[in-house]
Amino acid sequence: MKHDDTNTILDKIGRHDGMTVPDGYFDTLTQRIEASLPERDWEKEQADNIAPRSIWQRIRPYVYLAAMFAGVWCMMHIFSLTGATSPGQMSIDNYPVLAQALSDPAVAEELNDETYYTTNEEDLMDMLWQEGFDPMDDTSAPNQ
Amino acid sequence: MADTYSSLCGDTDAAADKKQRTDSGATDEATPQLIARLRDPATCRQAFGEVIKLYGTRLYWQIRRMVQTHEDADDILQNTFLKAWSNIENFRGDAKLKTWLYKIAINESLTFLEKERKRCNISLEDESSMIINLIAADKYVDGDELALELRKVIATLPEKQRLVFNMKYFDDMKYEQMSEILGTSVGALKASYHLAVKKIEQHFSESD
Repeated sequence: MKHDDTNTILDKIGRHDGMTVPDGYFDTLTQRIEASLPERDWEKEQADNIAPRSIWQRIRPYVYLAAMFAGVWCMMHIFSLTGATSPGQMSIDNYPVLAQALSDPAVAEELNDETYYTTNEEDLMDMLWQEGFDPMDDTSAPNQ
Repeated sequence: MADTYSSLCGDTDAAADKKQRTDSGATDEATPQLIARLRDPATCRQAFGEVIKLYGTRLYWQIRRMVQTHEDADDILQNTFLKAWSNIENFRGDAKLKTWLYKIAINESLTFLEKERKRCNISLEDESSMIINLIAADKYVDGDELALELRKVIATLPEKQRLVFNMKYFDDMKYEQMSEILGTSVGALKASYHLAVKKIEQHFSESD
């Protein structure tokens, strides 16, 4: 059937169409086309998975975690400093009456007593009151 | 010296011609192993290289016979593989790889011809004159006058007949495979081929 259709043409000119290509065109065709193929997303992902991880890439999550904790610690520290009495106000030098009282050997002895460590601020003020010191006196205000 | 198409399939003897094309590896279908490697991201690129090697030459000639000039055929062939590569994950094993690539190549070639037609402001009826001009512009020919005449006669055929004739006559493709590629029934393809052959025969018998 096929030959019935094509015999006349085949007999005359065959399957030759006279087309040619540049020298060596087919020799380099595969390489040229391969080189022009773009990298696909899944190839990049795979390359990332295969590539050896550097020291930095391995420790990076831990560094980030440590930095986060340091940041949280710094923030909490800043809040505690701004919220509480500053260290300058806490100094005994700002309270001359208290300093004088503490320099009294009797008071010092009392303070050296083991009960000092269990005495709260209210008890201490009460004790000073009894010793004749008035914490509400203007002269006992901090020197600021 | 330039490689000639006759070095691939220019022998007038059909059997020798078919043998040469088989030797180029282009008649082989992709193996299931190759398809499996195409689906594996680790081996896909390498397997695609083998696909280019397997079908590159054959697709080139299919495209060349449609667009006529080597430069355009080369560009379209690259676009064909680029498109296939970009959509390789969409390639399903139920369709034959060869059929899929041929579909892309033919669509790319038809799109090119349509663009050329619009660029030159040529109607569909006058497409044959545009193709004859492209044939005249083709630098890579071996000077065979009879072969050149055949190209020009094929250019005068309607698009479908031209396609079917090229695939059947030069590529020796089975009607069933052509049917898959072109989405046309085998009967219609046989009719198109028969008409094409008759027109070409008529042309050469008149010119004798």
